Amino acid sequence: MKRIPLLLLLAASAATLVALPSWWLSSRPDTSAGSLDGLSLEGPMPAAAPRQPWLGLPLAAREPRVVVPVRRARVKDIPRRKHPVPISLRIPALDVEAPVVPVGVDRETREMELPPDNATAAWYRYGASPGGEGSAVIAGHVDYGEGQAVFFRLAELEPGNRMVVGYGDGSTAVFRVVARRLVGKDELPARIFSTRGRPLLTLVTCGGAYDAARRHYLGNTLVFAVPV
Amino acid sequence: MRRLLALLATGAVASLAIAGLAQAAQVTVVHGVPDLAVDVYVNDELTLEDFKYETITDPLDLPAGTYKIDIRAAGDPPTAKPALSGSATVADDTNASIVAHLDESGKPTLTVFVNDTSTVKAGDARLTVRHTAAAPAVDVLANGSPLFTNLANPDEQSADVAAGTYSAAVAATGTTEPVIGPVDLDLEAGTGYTVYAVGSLADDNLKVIVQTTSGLGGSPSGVPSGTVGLAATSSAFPLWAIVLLSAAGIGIVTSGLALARTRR
Repeated sequence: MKRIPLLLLLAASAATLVALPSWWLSSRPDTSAGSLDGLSLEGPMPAAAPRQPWLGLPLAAREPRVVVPVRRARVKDIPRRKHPVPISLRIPALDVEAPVVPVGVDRETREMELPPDNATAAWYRYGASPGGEGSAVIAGHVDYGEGQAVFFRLAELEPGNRMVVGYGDGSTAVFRVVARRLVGKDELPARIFSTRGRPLLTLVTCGGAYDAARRHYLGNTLVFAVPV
Repeated sequence: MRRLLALLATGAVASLAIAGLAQAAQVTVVHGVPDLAVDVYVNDELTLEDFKYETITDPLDLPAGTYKIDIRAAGDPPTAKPALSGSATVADDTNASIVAHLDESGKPTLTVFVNDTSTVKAGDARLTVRHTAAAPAVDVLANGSPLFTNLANPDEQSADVAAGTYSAAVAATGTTEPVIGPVDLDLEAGTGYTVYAVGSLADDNLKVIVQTTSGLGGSPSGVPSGTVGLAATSSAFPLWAIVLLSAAGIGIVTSGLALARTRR
């Protein structure tokens, strides 16, 4: 063989060996983006609301007496959580505009219920309300039935993207994406359902590898957004 | 006031102990004695003034220890003989309720209940019923069927139930004719509802008062949000890339050997 073609073959082979793996590594979608600074999903739940001081020690000393809060306790006095109900979600970056319905849990599996369609997002009504204290969860299918669903492109959201939540009372609130994560289904942080802590809107869909035999994904894509 | 005088005569003393293990206890004080406004003294300190029937305190931090509790008619001087006295030993990390109520025979008494603040499953609420009324054993009916049966003063029964609205009633045990209610209870997920039956059957003033504890909710076990696999990302190296890399390897070896040969 001639020397030049051999050199060319050598160069092409070497280039392929170097370039292909690096291309493969860079072509895989980012499974995480942004910072969860101050939004830790690890560790214990945040402490409950500050407790009322009552009997400061020493008790014998005649210190100024703390007024103990007292309230009526009839059935009609039972406190109720009042929170605005989200009814729509718009994500301009993904061309998503979807109705949001309130859902609970499946009584058997205790999994969050999702509406059996590919166009509706679901708000976990036993948790926080978007914009209120704690992490509100709005979930949607990534795909359903025969095709793509409302959160098909959720993993494309990047920090800085905005979304708009519409509420039943006609008001709206804007949220800004701060982070995105892909977590294994068995690593879904319980904290995303917390009704305590700073206001956070957590969007959830399926992602990662797909188990065709069991017809389910092995992970969840999480997008965290804060009120603007 | 009749009961207060009766108490003064008997000098009722209750000894109370709150079980628990380890820094501060949380204590809720519940007033379930009809028509008796009181002042509550803790270790001789006036702590609750003019504490009225059907009211409860917020949960209060209480350092572990044993406390002397004296209850006097509202406005009585601190030197007056207490209507009801007792001591409560509170241990660390305990959530308890101290309840002033009538015993089955109608005499005021103090009972300490330990509150279950463990997490409930996602979508559940915890319903606890405490019999603190001057009445025989009762059944508690939810939507017409018995939820708790044969509950006697001063006992409690508890269950975690699906969040929602229940028509609740209290009937003499073995019967379904309500002596209290029915009342609609809207139970929110993640909240504990502690219902005290109070008052007196003989005086025809039975009713319920309710203490709530929020923040007990568990998390859903998962979010099943995809069934097709269209968005699947695979971490496996594609087969065609493996073939191409193998070819490149063979290319390097063969071209290298051939080049070495041409040099000779």
